[in-house]
Amino acid sequence: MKKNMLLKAGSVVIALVVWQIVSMAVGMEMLLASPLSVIQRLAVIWKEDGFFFTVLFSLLRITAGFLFALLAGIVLASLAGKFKAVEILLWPWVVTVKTVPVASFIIFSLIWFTYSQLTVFIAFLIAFPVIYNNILQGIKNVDGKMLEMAKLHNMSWRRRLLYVNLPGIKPYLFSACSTAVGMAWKAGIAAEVIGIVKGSIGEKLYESKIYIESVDLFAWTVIIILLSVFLEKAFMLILKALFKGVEKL
Amino acid sequence: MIKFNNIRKSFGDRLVIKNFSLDIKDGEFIAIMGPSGSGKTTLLRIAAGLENADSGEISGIPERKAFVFQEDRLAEDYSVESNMKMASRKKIPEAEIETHLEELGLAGEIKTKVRKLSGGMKRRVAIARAILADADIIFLDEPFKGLDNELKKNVMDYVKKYSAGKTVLMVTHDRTEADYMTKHIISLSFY
Repeated sequence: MKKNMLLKAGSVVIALVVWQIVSMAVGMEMLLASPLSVIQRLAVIWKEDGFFFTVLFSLLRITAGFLFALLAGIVLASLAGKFKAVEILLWPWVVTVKTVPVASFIIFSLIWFTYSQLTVFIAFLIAFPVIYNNILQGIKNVDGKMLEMAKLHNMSWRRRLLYVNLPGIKPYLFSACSTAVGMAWKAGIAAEVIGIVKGSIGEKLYESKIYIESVDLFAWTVIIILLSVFLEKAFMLILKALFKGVEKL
Repeated sequence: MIKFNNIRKSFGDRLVIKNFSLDIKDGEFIAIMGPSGSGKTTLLRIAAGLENADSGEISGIPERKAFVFQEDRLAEDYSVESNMKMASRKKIPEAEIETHLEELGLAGEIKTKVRKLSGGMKRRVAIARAILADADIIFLDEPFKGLDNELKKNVMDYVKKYSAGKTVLMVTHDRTEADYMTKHIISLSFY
């Protein structure tokens, strides 16, 4: 485990060195910023006016979109698991959302939503099918023998949910959330860039493109990655704690 | 009184149970014996309402049932306590759970997650769950499978003690087990 971590850290250092060499070879920070410049920029960027507002703006909206998707995914997958008609009715919608390019949705949404709603909606739209499909798969794969045991002992719906359904769905829910958080981030930021959503991280990325500020582009990208990792880890920790609490019941 | 009347069951072309009839008095302990494939488990499942017979009738099966399946069918991520309580209709105090665990040689395991238990320990938890289910009829499908001889005797005594007065249908292929548990032994190979 420790050896694996060391190897990974080593590979990151090598990648940074390669990046530095290529950047030096290009010789124009404007075209390809060096990792050193990016680190220097990161050291000061957070002190600038409005930095935390910008971060919170995107963080809150993407998180909201993801949470709506989680809620809708759980409710609709539960209904689809119970009633085949619901699964069939939802099928074209889920397939459409999965297959249509995110850029098309963003441009379409610009007609219908305000700039501040756009990020929430796109994060929701991209996370929803992942969560819905995974949970539905989990519901379908709940252990039939445990269901039989619960039925025979005439267990209440609460106990069936607690002891039979939740353990079956758990691995699917964890995998769905882990994947969907990252996807919601990428799509949410893309929506902010295309929609030039005022006060967002996406707007900062757009500005760095307009002014050919390669260093800023990389610095904000690093911030996006860090926030995405933070959100995923934080959410997974909360989810694990919730399940731990439930399993103590 | 439970009545099995001309029960017949086949899977495809294979006839598993042929015209099985039996009367069981309330509170009787019946052991059903027979070689592998003789339809013991199928008969138990039909009696419990988990499977339908092709023909014949069963009457008098009580509403409140408990079942020890061949597999443990426990919620692995939950504690021993949760698993023991899950099939019960009434609230069971922790002290009562502790007493049952002590009798089963599982003292101190009340808060242990089932996932961490050995096969034999899981088996005992599954048996305790059925006993604590407060059922009027208990179905036992090879309940002592996987338990070593000394432990088996303890667990058999436990089942005898707590199932007294209840109707029990037990499937086993082990004559010694059947003899130890009851005088009422039925061999399916004769049908």
